[in-house]
Amino acid sequence: MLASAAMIAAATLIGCSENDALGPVANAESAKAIRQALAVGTTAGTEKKAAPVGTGWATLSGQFVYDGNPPAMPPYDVTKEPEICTIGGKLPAQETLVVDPGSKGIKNVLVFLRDASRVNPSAAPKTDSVEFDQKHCVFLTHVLGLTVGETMDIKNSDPTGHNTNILGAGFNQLIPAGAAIPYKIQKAATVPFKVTCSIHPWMTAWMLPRTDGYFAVTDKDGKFQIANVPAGEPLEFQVWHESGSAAGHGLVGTTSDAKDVKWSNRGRMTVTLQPNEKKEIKVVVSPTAFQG
Amino acid sequence: MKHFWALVFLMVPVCGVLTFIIAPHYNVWFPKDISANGHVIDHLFMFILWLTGIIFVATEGALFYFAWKYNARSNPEPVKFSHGSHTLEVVWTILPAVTLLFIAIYQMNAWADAKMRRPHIPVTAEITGRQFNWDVRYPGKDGVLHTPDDIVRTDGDIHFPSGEEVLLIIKSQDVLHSFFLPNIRLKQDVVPGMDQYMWFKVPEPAVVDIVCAELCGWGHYKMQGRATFEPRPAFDEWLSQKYTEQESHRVAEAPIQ
Amino acid sequence: MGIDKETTRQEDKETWCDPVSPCLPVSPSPCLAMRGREFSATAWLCIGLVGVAAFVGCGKADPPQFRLNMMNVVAKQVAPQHQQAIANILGAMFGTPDKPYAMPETGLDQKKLNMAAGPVWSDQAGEDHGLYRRHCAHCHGISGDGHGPTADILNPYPRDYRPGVFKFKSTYTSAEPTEADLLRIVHDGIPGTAMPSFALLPPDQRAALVEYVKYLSIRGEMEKALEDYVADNLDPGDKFDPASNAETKKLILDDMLKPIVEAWQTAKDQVIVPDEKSIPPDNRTVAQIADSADKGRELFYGTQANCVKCHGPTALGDGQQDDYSDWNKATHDFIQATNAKLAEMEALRKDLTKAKGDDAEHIKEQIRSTQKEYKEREAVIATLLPPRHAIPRNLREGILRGGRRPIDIFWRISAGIRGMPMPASGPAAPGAPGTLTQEQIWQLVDYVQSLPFEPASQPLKKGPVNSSAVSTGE
Repeated sequence: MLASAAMIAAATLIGCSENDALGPVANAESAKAIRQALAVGTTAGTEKKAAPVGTGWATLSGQFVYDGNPPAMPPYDVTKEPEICTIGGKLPAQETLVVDPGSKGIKNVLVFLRDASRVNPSAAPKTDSVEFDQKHCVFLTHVLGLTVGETMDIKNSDPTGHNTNILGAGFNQLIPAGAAIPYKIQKAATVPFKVTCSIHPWMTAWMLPRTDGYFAVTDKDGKFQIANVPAGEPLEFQVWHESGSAAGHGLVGTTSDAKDVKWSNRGRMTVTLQPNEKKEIKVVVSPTAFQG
Repeated sequence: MKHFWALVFLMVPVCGVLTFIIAPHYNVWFPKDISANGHVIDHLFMFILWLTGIIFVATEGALFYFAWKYNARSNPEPVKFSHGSHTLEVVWTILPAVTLLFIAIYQMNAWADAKMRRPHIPVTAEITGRQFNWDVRYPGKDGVLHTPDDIVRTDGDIHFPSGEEVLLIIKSQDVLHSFFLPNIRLKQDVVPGMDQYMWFKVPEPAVVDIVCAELCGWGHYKMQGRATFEPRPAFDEWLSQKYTEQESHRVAEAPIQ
Repeated sequence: MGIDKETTRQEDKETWCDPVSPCLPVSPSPCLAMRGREFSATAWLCIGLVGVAAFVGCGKADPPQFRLNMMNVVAKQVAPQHQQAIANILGAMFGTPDKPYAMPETGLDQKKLNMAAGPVWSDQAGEDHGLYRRHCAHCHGISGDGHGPTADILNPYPRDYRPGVFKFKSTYTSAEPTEADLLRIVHDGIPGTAMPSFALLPPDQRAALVEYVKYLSIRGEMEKALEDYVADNLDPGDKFDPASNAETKKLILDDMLKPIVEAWQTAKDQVIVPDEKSIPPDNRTVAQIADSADKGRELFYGTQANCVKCHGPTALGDGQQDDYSDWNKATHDFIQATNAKLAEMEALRKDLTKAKGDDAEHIKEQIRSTQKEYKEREAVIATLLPPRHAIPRNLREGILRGGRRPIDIFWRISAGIRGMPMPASGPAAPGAPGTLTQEQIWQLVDYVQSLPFEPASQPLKKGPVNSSAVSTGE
């Protein structure tokens, strides 16, 4: 009897369990205060301190080096049109972590200045056309930096059609075989867009549009150079690599010979350069800075 | 009190009959019948209602009588068991059997008219039920379904011609539904993988509901449509308007509100 | 029947149910065992408990609240205090599911939002309230996340409005849908999916629903902008409060909200209007249409339009079935990244065996934080819909989700389908060059419209009829 009473009570209460959804709910009082603050005409509190601005220009260059033995790159998983998507009968290798065997330089590391207080005319946004080609079902430029106003001249040098899908940018265009379609950059971003092809889904590239020219992509020896950056003020560079394990694919390295370069765990390095200084840094990256 | 249970059981036929008397006053009765043959169904319903109603009142009345007369408080004599009456058993087996057989035969014509004697006319429309919407396909100018000039609508606003016999093919795209037109007294389960015919005639223009009468999922309650019956010229006009809209190559000037 | 009142047998008095020993009831139902003509005390207790259970219910339910997009929050590792700050800002800007707020900057109509929001009820005049919760929330969710209670059993999944991406629209690829596009979807439904038609609702209710969808979409896009900004720029100790910081207020209103609202407001200027001279004439003969469809077939199989690559040489949609829609891809990537955390922990544990002293402490700390993140991710994955592949449309079925009018098919081919692998063949923006000319797109439209009527598509023009008793002679 007691057992059945207990069961009835339990059955009643089980249905009353609290909704255990994840995440916070807006606090009514705080929301009210913020709504008033956001209303037109109200002035909010303290202004942010203006960041220090220096004079002159400097150049940052360097090399990214892999500390250890890099993993071998497996071939792309070519599931379609093998007669076109192979190079001499061999599957092309993936490019998620390309390290030069001789110099241990890491290719396709993207370094860009996060906030430029002033822009040198040589780094001002351009309006030219930058080639972005694909052949043998591989994007020939794996990481591309552009400025707003430039045009990405998307070429297709294959005898088959591709569609170039820039995820998150709302651009997904059919590029017919042997033809080219331009894409004008309208908006900048802080994280590179992934570029892919829906027809050949293994194809991957990355594209980052910026409002200034303070970016560089390392070559096969891991070398990069960013010229005419503002001197005399702290510069925060984001280091990005598609296999970087920091937040947003940031890449954390160490510059043991350049103690004035400070690294954050988001793969950001901060350095202050003197006017006309040409600083060269060697960044050593440990295998743990890369994802599985 | 002495005859408590007898009176309780008396309430059953009394309340039962009262319910049927007052229901129409609260609009809890037949929906408006707009069809040509709906009255046959209604007549069958009323016939069975009266037949079973009379038998029901009689049986309950007998129950009440015996409950009152042989009430334990006023009737302390113990029960006497009889060994049964062969005649009684035969009578009350044959009478209900004959009654039911009568009802079965009496309705056969109505059933055949509604479900078996398909009129030999071209199909007016094909209705497809899906979870949870009624789609319609009209044959278009060539009169043949599943040709490029069909008119296909998914907005549940289905038109039919009034004043003439309408023949429908009804089917399902996924699970069991039931195409039910309460105001025409017709419903038929739509079975996936099977085409069925449904026909009716609505003499006067009207606008009535289409509902789903077979539990088909969580949205069964909201699977509704609206059937509009209009004279043939207006119906043809509506069809050609919908065809023009369907063949549109241009941005609509007057977009749907 | 009935228990004889005179019984005084010892067994009857004692063997009836007591809590300790198993029941050997005298009557079939222990609860209603009668002693004399009274219910026993235990029987009353039984009845009382059942009655209480029936009526106690759960009290008044809490009103539903907007929750954050936990997948993005956890993926970007937004700190809990920032999560709360973001929730507060969104509450300020957009209100709650019961009381929505149309910020003047958003251009939304407060009256329509009030009609659509809140609990479901009808007033004395018969006006329906709580339209969104009545008609939409069970699939699309309270916050428009496409994960309402009935979403788990649907294929395709209901739309998640929060990225601000809609598939079936009349505008260029990267633009938002117009109000007319959304109204058309609500009016016609989407054939081939569980999205029904709401044509039977009065027009003002449909307009209110569309406004609420826009509201949820703008709110979702704003939420993402806030989360991405905070994850990218703030440290856990930083404050994020527009009420006390003018910079933050400016950031929120000008840098985040303004572009989102502008995209919605300029959508009507981004409608793709086909050239009059490219539109085929109205009174084409069957032969002319067939001729155009033939040209369309050539394009379908050619290397310019490449339709076969995904829709298959049979047009059944079997050319490629391993890609994802944007929504499912995000879930898939999140799950992949979560699995990668396991590999990360393995690698760290291996390192731990070789490390010493400070390094070992550092690695232990990393393992702890990775484990914490992994648990958070697992909790989020439990709330997500399992990702599904994007299957290209079977064009022989004749069910086109975005609409079957020639102009609808033209828009799908010209602008592609945003959020899906289907690419654009027309210009990406006004004035940009396209892959195909408009004439070519109309030819493809003719071919697509003719596909369901090709002999290969018509195995069953008529299904089997229900009974031979139904006379079949014409």
